[in-house]
Amino acid sequence: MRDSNPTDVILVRAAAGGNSAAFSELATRYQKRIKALGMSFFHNESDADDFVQDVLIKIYTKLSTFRGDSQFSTWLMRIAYNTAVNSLNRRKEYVPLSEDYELMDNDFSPEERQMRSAVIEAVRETMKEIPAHFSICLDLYFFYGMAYNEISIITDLPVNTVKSHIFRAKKLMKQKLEEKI
Amino acid sequence: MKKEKCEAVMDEFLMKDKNEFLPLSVILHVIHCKECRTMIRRMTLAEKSASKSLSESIPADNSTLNAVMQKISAIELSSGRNAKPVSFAGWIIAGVIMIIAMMFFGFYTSPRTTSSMLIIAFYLIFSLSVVVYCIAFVTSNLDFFIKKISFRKNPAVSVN
Repeated sequence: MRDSNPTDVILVRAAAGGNSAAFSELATRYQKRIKALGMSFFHNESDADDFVQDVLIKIYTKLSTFRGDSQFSTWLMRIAYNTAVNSLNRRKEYVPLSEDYELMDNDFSPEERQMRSAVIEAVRETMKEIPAHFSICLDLYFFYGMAYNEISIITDLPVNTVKSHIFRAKKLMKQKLEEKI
Repeated sequence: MKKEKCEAVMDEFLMKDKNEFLPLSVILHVIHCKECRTMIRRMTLAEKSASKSLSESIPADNSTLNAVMQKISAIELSSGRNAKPVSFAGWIIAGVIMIIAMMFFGFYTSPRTTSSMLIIAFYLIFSLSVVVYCIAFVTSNLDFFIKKISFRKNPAVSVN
């Protein structure tokens, strides 16, 4: 029986062997995340689209170097992050998703909307208290769904530092949720 | 007292990473405390809903992806990534076998024990084999030689 939803590893192997359909499937899975990261760094649609293209081509050419030590999503986000940080087109600093990017673009239930707004508010408030360069850690945890060690791999920041900032945001999130109940 | 216990349990929960198992002490407390149970459920749902939109796939038919796939096709064509690598292993093995066979024949045959006609016949066959081998080698790898060796002379510099 053929797998209707193959894992990233299966798709990476196929794509590295020259299967462009497999790479296309991988790209559709992660394009939204890369675009969001591009929007945070470049602040406009056109540069973000160019960034998505650059990152996807870079990933395609480097697929054979993916050893599977980390998850594919972590590997991909690290390449995207480094590409953005080193980009010559980057004129401004990182703008967190909670500030700039429209996150409410899905059909959410009223309860989900309420919870999402609690997360966004908590992240915004935490970002006022922490150094600016840590704001990406909160975005990666809450909006990109990455774990502590994945964030550490992507940003090269110590796990414990990442953990303490996220803990602070979670505390605030708890307060916000308590207020909304 | 209960409030302090709840705070401690919630802090322990908040320290945990995504998909990390909760310690037994937290689980036991949550079983008895409805408030903490509700809050943990809401926190988990809040985190899930926050990351929901970025974790969804987008349709494959979009202009950015189409442009990427076109660029990838161009890279493939220019680098010949899908082309099979040229291997000369078979040819080298065959050549070595031919040389060993010739040496072996030279060592173990002498004009005293072997008829000179037979020796001439063998050497004719060997020389024919070498010629056939060389022709076959060059013709079957013609594509490789054309791509790798430049036969073009440097263009003449015109002086006005």
